[in-house]
Amino acid sequence: MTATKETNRVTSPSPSPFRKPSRPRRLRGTGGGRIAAVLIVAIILLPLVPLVINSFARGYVFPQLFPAEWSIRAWRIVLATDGGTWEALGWSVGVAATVTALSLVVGVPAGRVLGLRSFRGKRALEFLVLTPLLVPAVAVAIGLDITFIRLGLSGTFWGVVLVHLILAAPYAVLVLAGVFANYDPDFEAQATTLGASPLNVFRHVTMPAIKPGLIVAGFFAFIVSWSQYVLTLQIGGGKILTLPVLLVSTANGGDASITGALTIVSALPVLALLAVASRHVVRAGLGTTGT
Amino acid sequence: MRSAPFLIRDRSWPKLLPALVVIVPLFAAAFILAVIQSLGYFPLIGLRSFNVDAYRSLLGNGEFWQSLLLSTWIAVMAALLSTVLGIAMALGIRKIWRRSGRLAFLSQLNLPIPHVIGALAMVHLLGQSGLIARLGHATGIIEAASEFPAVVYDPFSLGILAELVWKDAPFIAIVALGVLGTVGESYENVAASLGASSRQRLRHVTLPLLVPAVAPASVIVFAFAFGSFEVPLLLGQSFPSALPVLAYRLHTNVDLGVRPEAMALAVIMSLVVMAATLLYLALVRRVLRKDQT
Amino acid sequence: MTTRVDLVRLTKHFGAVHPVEDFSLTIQPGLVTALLGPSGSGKTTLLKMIAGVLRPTSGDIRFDGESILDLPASQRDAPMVFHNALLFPQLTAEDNVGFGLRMRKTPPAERSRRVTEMLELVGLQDLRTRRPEQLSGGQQQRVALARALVVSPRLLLLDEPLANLDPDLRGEMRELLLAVQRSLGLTMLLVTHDQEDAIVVADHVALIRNGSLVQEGVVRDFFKRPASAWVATFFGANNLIPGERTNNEVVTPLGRLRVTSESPATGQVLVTIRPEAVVLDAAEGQANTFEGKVIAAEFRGSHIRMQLTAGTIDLEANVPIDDAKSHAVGSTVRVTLPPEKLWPLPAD
Repeated sequence: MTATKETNRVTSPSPSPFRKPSRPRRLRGTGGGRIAAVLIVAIILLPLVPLVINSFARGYVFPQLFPAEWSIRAWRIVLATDGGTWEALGWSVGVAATVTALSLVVGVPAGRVLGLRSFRGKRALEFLVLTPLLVPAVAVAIGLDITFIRLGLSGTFWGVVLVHLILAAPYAVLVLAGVFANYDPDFEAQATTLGASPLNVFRHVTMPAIKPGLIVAGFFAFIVSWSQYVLTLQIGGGKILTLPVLLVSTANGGDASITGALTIVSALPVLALLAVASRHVVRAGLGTTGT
Repeated sequence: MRSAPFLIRDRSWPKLLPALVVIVPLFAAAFILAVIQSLGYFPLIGLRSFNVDAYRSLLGNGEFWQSLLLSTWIAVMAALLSTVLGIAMALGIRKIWRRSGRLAFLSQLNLPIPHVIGALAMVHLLGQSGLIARLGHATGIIEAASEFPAVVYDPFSLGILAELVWKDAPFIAIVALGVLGTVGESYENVAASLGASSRQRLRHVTLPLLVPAVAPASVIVFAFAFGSFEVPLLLGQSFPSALPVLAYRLHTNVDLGVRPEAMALAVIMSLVVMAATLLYLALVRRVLRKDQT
Repeated sequence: MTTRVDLVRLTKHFGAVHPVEDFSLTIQPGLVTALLGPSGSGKTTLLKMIAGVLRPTSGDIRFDGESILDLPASQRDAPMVFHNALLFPQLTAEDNVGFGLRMRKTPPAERSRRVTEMLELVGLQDLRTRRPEQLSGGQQQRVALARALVVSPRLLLLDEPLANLDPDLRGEMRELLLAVQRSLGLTMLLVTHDQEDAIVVADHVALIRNGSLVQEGVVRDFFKRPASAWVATFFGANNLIPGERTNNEVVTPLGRLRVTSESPATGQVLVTIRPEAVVLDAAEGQANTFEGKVIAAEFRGSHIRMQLTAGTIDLEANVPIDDAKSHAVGSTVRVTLPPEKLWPLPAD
């Protein structure tokens, strides 16, 4: 028996407010794993391939497999400063960002209550929060249309934001409820007894702890808003032209190359966001278990 | 539930308030307004009486029933296929790579892609002059575009289903992996040491473990598929169209007198989804209890 | 039911991590063997290899002389009970217990009979229709035990089964394990970091450290004849006196100590003596007696733990309460280390 560096106890790292499951790591057949990874990516991205090819092609008709003529004409049109693309991009980003921010502001307290406390009628409340996600967006659009016109919200930025919020906020609440379900509020008690004000407790204890959840919730809210079509179409009244709205009318225009280019423009920002939020999306999962 | 000394009961409600103010009233307003307007109360166009004419007219319309059937078909098939494929994906990923973080992440690459884009992509992939058709031509299987089977704008809504499953199977897979990854392995080890073969473990341990998480997820898929507007709009046939498309058409009809019918349809759609959800979840709970001796 | 298990030079590597290194042990049939060791010593890894959940990097595992390495976990007939009961959440207690029998396609009548028998053995027949979430931790653990026993396994593997239980419950569970094992004559391998488990339940103990076997034998041996200083201190013999031994004498800073035990260690040694063996104020004329000073005295419930110092050596003594009364902190006391209680260890 040699060495004197061993300890009898494994020192555990200082606990975080979250209970992390133990993670044994086991790799079996890394070769098979790599092939599977490539296959999965291929299948997932395959549908986008024709559009991408098309955007760099000219006259890419059946039966060409590879474009007979490459061209960036479509890109030049789509990216033209006087085209509709940049305006649509602006609208999409503006609406989505606002919706995200509001969803988080609304979602954190609601998620906290639903995640931490159990009280009578909680199930019903959870279901209530879930309903906007179940009901068809068209129904909401139709129901609110006249009223929004009457309220002067139709065709306005805030009208669209509001109506997106109806769909986005529940996602944020659900994700954050899941996050708070694993959260130990005793950490806040600790900080308070050490003299921290409620604001500081929030800033230095709560926020860092739920940061991954915030990123996931914000990510979902952003995507929900970014992808919205019929609600923007109806409530936007032709004035708020987000990318999906522009995309559909472009597709109806028949020029596949332009459609393809615009598709890429619409997809890239959210794919970039996915890369940024990626670690947290996988680990946090969705807190919908056990409802 | 853990102790929450700083959330006194009366302080909880104000915290919920912003969320409730946004979600519930707006949403409830939409619903209530739709109901009222569907019952004929439409001051804007001079209708002030309450009647069920809109409903009668709608329910008597053959197109409504065909659309309802179509949307139900789409929703059920989308949920079914996504669930089966999603679980298969999750199990497959786990088999190849135990702690499959990276694979799980890769399978989510299409998560942020809007359905509008997905639908357009499917047109160019599965359409008669799409990429698959062109591959068929390149390999000599078909000669002309028309020989390729109609997968979009087809009566079975295969194109629509393809898009929905493409997006939703990974979603189910992630939910499944979430369960499997944390506790699944321990339970499977216990079952194995008690003598359960891998097939038995799948049926008696793994799948039952998945149900509580996957069931709500598949309900979400069902509801979303039922209410999806842009996907049938871009990939579906025009007659019969999916219910949401029909609703929109009615709503934007030049004849304002048709509006109450659009409202009625909105109400019916919402009710159908809610009822289906509750029914489905109750059924799942019953099936779960059935796994007794 | 009475299987002999041979672990032959088992090794497990996870890349650069070697939780188990060249581990060999024979687990006697019909007895309880405790695999005792601190956290992270590799004992759970060993257990998982025996159960078939992990594959050894090298080495062999034999049941009754036959290698079972290629046998899948579901065919080894060696159920595991974890510290976390892992009752299948959708089944009632009795259905959980009957799970293994159901997998073996045992006819329902017989299954029911055996399940009832097992539930009675662990004292839970009244709770048979409860679901796991309706059971307390201790009750869940008993169901898990019944579930493993009902299949009449040839080997029962337990991984820290008492770790999640309240201290008062642990005593009960230990008694239950013991009773069950005695009545069924089962070969049991119990992995634990808790000495109490080993002392109360085990017939045989194997002490493991950093993936290797340090000492094995009956529990008493670890107290009376620890194999190394590490083993001695693991079991609470914190007194280690350096010295040089020739035959029956050890020259130490405390003077010449007489040693009568059969420890093989000679030359540079560490002499250990258990705190409870240290005698204060013995009768006149005893061997190994010297003056010491009391530095501290702590009340420990059943005894007083005293810290003594004699020159450069610090000693710990567990003294009966009445005896300790006359020795205040700071006072001098006559300390005797009985020769038969001294155990020299190799100084490593």
